[in-house]
Amino acid sequence: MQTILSASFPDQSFENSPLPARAGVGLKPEHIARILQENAPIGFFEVHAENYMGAGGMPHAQLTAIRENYPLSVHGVGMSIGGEQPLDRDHLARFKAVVDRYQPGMVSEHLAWSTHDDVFYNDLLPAPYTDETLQRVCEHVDEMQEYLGRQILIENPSTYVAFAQSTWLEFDFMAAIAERTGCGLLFDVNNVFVSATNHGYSPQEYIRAYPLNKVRELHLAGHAHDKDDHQRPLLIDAHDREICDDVWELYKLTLSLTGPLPSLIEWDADIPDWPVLAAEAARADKYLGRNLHTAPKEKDTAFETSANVH
Amino acid sequence: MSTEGLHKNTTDEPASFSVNHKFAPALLDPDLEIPAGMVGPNGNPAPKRFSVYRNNVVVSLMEAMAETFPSIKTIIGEENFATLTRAFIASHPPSSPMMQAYGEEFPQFLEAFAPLANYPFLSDVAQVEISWIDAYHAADAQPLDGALLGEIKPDNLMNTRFDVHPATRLIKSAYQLHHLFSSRENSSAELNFEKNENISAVLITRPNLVVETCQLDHATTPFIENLASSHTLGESIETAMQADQNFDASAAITLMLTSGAMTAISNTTS
Repeated sequence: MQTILSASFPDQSFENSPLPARAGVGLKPEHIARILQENAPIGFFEVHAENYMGAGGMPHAQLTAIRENYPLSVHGVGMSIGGEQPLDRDHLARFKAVVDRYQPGMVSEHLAWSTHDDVFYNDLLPAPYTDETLQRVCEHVDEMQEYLGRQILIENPSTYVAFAQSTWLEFDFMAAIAERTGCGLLFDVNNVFVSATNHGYSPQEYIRAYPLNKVRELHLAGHAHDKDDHQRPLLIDAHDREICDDVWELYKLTLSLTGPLPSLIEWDADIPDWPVLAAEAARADKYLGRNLHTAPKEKDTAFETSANVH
Repeated sequence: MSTEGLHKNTTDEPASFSVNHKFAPALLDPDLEIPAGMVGPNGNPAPKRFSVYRNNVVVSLMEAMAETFPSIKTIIGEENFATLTRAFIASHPPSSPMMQAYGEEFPQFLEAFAPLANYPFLSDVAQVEISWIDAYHAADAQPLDGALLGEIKPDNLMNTRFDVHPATRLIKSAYQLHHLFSSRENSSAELNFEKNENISAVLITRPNLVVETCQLDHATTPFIENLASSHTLGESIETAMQADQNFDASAAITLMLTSGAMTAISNTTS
């Protein structure tokens, strides 16, 4: 690590570089040395904002080194956009500091809550789809966009329960958030498959009904298998393994409707060696029509935006 | 797969009750009833589905604790650690999305936890572990350049004060603290829980990006402690000599420099 990361502390200012319509990977500290050594052909990296809210040290040195070579997406997991109480202004300020420092191509958060009273639950918890929730979520998205001075993306959740009091369908709810706030959407294809299986609807119908014209980024991940109270399949959004074939098929369906979009591989538990993740990214790149291992670079305009990789 | 689940629910449930208010406490307390209105496909109540959230929350917090406190986990064993962290999580859930700070109250919790009364050193070990995380994320600063000391006139040297590095931490204990803390590196090593005659400290520093730890002896402990609280070099040496008349000042100054505990000379006024 020492040979790659300088122990000096650069006061780096980054050019804003948009995410290319290529495969990206969720950044894990254990992979960083190898990524930098081999100039890994990855379109962009995504980090959880909360992991870079410390004052200094190794996390910032590593992310600075990555950011010098790749476009970046900053993904929040703790803003509690779907929560019933006001956003935490201290957390907003910390979030803005990360965004200002690294100038990411995209900034995203979840349709979920994680804080209630003064407890942070460290999980993405579900909200009922009601007019009341919609009003609150839109206020929170407005507040976050205004505070950051930029558009954010909101991600569709994976859920294990539904709420009897919901009066909106999820895809209509997501469309309404985007229309009312001007935010974009982050479409998590694995979440669609997990939720559709868990709630017994068709993921293909969901995708076709989704406001795909608002989608600016896709997520892909692996999930775990369980059974519910009545022995029906219950999928858990574990991010702990390879993406399954069903989800790859849904990804291809989505791309056929949206065209190429920045597509992130998420793997957050039981993290594999780098080549396993790189292979998942290469597979996504293949479906994006960007087989970087064999195809030449010309005509690849998105690639040129991140040409400083090499 | 049917498309049934895509259709809207119609229900008499009032739309305005606070979901978070009922959902949240039940996440951390398995004895609390699952909130009404949580359903699976076909609108049936779904307790097992709700328990996925319970499990996610508790497991993710236990993992966070295990990442921050590997030495405690090694010393007391995996099973005891799980019991202990479950109790801690229930009484001290995180209050901030910045999870790096989670566990700050664990040393005090261990100290007050009656069944651990015979393991008083655990609290000190936990304090080193949480301080290690603190140092890892502390602000960047260049450590003091030893050459600058040589530029001070000999007459002024003893009146010199230093600025402490933002990552420097000193954890004092009556036990062989660094030895116990190092159990994270070697879980099979035999541990010595004997109390020392004197109080001494583990020094945590981060001269560049990598956190470093070392055991100070009982005289170097007040030496570094005094320097870190803006006492002069002379005062710090004097306090160390009171602790041990054989205190080796030049070795301690070398340690101050090589550890990166200080960043700059703050003044040399007499």
